Amino acid sequence: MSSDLLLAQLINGVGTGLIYFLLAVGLTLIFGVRDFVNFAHGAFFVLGALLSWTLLEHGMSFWIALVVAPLVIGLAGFVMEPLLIRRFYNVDPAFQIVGTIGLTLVIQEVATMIWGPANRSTQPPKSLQGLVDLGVVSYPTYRLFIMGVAVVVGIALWWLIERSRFGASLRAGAEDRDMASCLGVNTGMLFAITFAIGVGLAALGGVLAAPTRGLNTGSSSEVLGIAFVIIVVGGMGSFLGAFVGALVIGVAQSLTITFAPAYGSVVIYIAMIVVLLVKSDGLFGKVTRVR
Amino acid sequence: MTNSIDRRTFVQGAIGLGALVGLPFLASCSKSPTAAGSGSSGSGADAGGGNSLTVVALSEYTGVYANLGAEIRKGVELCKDEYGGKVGKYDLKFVTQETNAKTDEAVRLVRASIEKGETLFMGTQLSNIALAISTEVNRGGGVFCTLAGAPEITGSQCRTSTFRWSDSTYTAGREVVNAVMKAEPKLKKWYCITPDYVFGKALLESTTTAVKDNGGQMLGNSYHATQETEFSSYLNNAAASGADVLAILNVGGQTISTIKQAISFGLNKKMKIVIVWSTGLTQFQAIGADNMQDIYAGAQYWHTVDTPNNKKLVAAVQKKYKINPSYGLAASYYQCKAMLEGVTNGGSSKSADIIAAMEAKPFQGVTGKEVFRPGDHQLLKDYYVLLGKPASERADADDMMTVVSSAGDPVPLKDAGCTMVPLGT
Amino acid sequence: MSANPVRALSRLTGAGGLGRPALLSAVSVILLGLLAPSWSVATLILIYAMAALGCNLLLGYTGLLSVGQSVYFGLGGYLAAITATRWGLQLSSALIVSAVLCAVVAAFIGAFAIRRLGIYFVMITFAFAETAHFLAFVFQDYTGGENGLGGVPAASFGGFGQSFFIAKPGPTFFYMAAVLFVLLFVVLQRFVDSPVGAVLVAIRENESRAEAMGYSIKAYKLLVFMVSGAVTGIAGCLYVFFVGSASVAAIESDMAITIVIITVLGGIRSLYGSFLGAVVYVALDTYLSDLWPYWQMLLGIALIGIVLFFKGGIHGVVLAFFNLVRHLLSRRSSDPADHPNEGASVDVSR
Repeated sequence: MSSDLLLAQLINGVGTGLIYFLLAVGLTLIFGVRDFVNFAHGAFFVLGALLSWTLLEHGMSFWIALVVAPLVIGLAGFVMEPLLIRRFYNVDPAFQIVGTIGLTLVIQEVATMIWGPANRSTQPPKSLQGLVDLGVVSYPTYRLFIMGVAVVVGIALWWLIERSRFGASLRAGAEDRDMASCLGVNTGMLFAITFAIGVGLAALGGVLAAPTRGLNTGSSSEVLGIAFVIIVVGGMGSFLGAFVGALVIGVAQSLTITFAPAYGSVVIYIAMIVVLLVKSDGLFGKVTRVR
Repeated sequence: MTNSIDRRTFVQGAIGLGALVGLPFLASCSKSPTAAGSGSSGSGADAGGGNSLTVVALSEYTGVYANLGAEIRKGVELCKDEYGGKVGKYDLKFVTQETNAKTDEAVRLVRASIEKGETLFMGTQLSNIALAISTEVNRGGGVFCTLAGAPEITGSQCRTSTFRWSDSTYTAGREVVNAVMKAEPKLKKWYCITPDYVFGKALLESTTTAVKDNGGQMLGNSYHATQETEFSSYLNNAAASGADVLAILNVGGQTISTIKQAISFGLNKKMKIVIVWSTGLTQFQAIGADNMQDIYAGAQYWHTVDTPNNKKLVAAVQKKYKINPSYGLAASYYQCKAMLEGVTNGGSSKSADIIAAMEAKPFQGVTGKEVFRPGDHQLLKDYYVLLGKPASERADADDMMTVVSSAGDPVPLKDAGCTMVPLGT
Repeated sequence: MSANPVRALSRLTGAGGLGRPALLSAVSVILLGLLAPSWSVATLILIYAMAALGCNLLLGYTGLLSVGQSVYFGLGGYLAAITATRWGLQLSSALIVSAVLCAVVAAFIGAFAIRRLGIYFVMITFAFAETAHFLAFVFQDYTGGENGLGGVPAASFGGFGQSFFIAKPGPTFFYMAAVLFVLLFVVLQRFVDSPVGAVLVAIRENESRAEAMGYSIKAYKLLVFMVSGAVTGIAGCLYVFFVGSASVAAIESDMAITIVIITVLGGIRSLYGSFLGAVVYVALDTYLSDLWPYWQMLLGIALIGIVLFFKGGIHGVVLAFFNLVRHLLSRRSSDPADHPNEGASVDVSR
């Protein structure tokens, strides 16, 4: 086992983890604000990827697709929240899951009507193809770009939640809805925006992931599984948890593949079970509210 | 408060229940007949023999299987057009069924078809479904032709009714390794990325044996999960091994992801990439013609293969669909032809006679006359090894590959492990 | 014993008795057998109904959503296939083996899962489902990997090399499955109607209060987990004998989601809902999917509708329909002689 390989796998693990972070952070944001378990989250990831494929097929540049697709999905989320999602908030978590499974089915079938069931994948833009020499290992430019985007998004989100007025209202609304409302916070608008941001982030993850792998309308469950594992490991509703959880899972997966490749995809579930045994709410989870 | 029911409520309840349970079935007709319907007499070993024959084409059209599923359907359509409603002196019908990649659904469909007297079955790309169908069709006394890859289909689980059109993993691994190592003798060290299931293991075994037989070294292998999409860590393993060749043993969409990620990591410059079991044109199109340059790929079929029959097929497909035929299309077209020529060659619509004809007489396949080996019903055909061309050498967008070799060494009959289960059991 | 047959019937079908669930399920399967267009579809409905019963015990009665029922459905099936092909075990014994071993595995998984609440519980069941799926490939020599395990002989009852009843696919298999279903339904209805069932409902309604009343929450949850696992294992065992082979599809998480969908669709307020859910789901999957490839959209909309508005699922809707009919009919007849049991009412809800 050479230290070069180990280092390469570690970097790769961090890279994969950062992609996972983009996927998971939207989910944990939505949960943190409204205790809403969105089992349709994977579907938005896939929608973002498919939409970017369509835009690219029509000749638009990758950069435009990168901005437009998440915006469109985010807008759709902004409209969907007051119409449908809001009604789920007071429902038992088990029912939220079943209801959003239903939503996933609807989105999946609509997507299949539009895009067909076949695999779609895109190419990274010419400017991002190629490799960057990191000394020990050469890493694809495009993957470094994704990592960069994830870090920038992470910092921007952190600033938004912790340092901005919007974030303050958000945290207030999450903690005590009625009080925040009394204090003049438009909680309805707040939650709509939060949901929009959450699904927009998932779509962004999809747009970024599409050049590295194929996606079809049935991919949402696989993506969802990873997202949920991460936010459970990191602690539901915790932004820092999503970040740390994603990195932990990404690196754990990468290292497992180095030593025991066949266990690469099951290790994330075993890791989750282990973490939950040790700390029942995940690494940074808040006290579980009894449902 | 008592919780007992009175007579009235009970009657109402029973009626209501009946209506409820019957509601979903209001649209459908009576139960599927247990006796034969469309002209066949007898069942089991005696099946067929009527005035009409039905070809049931089974495919998977969902999710990751959709690409190949769509191709399979096109091939069946082509066959249907060619025969135009009659095969020999018998009427011919075609039925397309969707298995949804579920074994129980496929089994149920096949049972229902057999009850209706339909005897000719073909298709499915999934090995577990092919094996389940094989059992049902044999029991019901039909004929089944498939392109699924598991060696068991013509090996330990072979059946009298079942024929396999595609070359097995035994052939694929060997032909590809032989061709590559003959063309470039310096490529001695190999590393494999393999899906961790029975099919993958069989392919790995034949590839490893072939590498050793050619004086090479198998430096290592990374197994990955069946639904894996992120291959970067496995590719790191491959790169670190110091091998000359990166052999990719997964299939379909996974191959596409693996190659794209390998190229993004620049591995195609450091190692020779070899796809052992490719699904042909549509897969290469998804990877990208430029990306395919200098990549070796083993294929069951390629549209530029220079034989009279293939040229005819390409022309027919161009005319009907305006595309070049891909593996799925060609495979299903030829499976259909193989069975229908078995009808005309045997001069009978009885399954037993059709099977005997398919064993004895060749049909017009890709390379000309092709025949199924009687011992295990494996089609003896060539496996093609292709090499990606640079853009300057391409005649058109689809002309991405040169045919480097076409040969087919099937598994020796004694090693196949096939003992034919008689028709009707 | 009263000479009045109506009174006798009423007593037999009274609350807590075995009569009413037996009657209900028996009439249902008879009607199913008569009206279903094919024996295969009817049998499949019963198998899925059994699996949904297992899920319903957890979700409807204890308030626990398990998206990992595929573990037992698949394991029960594999056990059936392995014991039948290797040791010639017959269906009657395979059912017992599946039920017992699945209960043991359920106890193991339950020990991990029931410690957590809400979404964490759900995720643990999901994680075990994915792990079980993975293990099916690890033990390829036993499960056949993605090829599955074929060659399962026809279902038969008996032991030690003797069989006294063989159920070939077709009407015989259906009758056998029907009898099994009725038995299972009656037993489970008895279970939920018993004091144990009442505690489960108490846990569902307010766990901390139930605990304050002195009930050991963990023990009860573990018990229902094991019962649910056993029932689902039986369904999986039957499924494999029905299809003739075991495949990895039965142990995939998609199967677990399907089972949950059927359970909720049918209605989680009563065990009978599980039967209704299976009828509707299999009917849609078999007949609608040929007409319209995007039929799952309707399923999704139905689920959303159920979660938001019709929490009782199809069963709830049917019950409302009944009550309406009865209301209309009883308004028409005002002759007291027609209502010897005035004041009594059908109470099939929970």
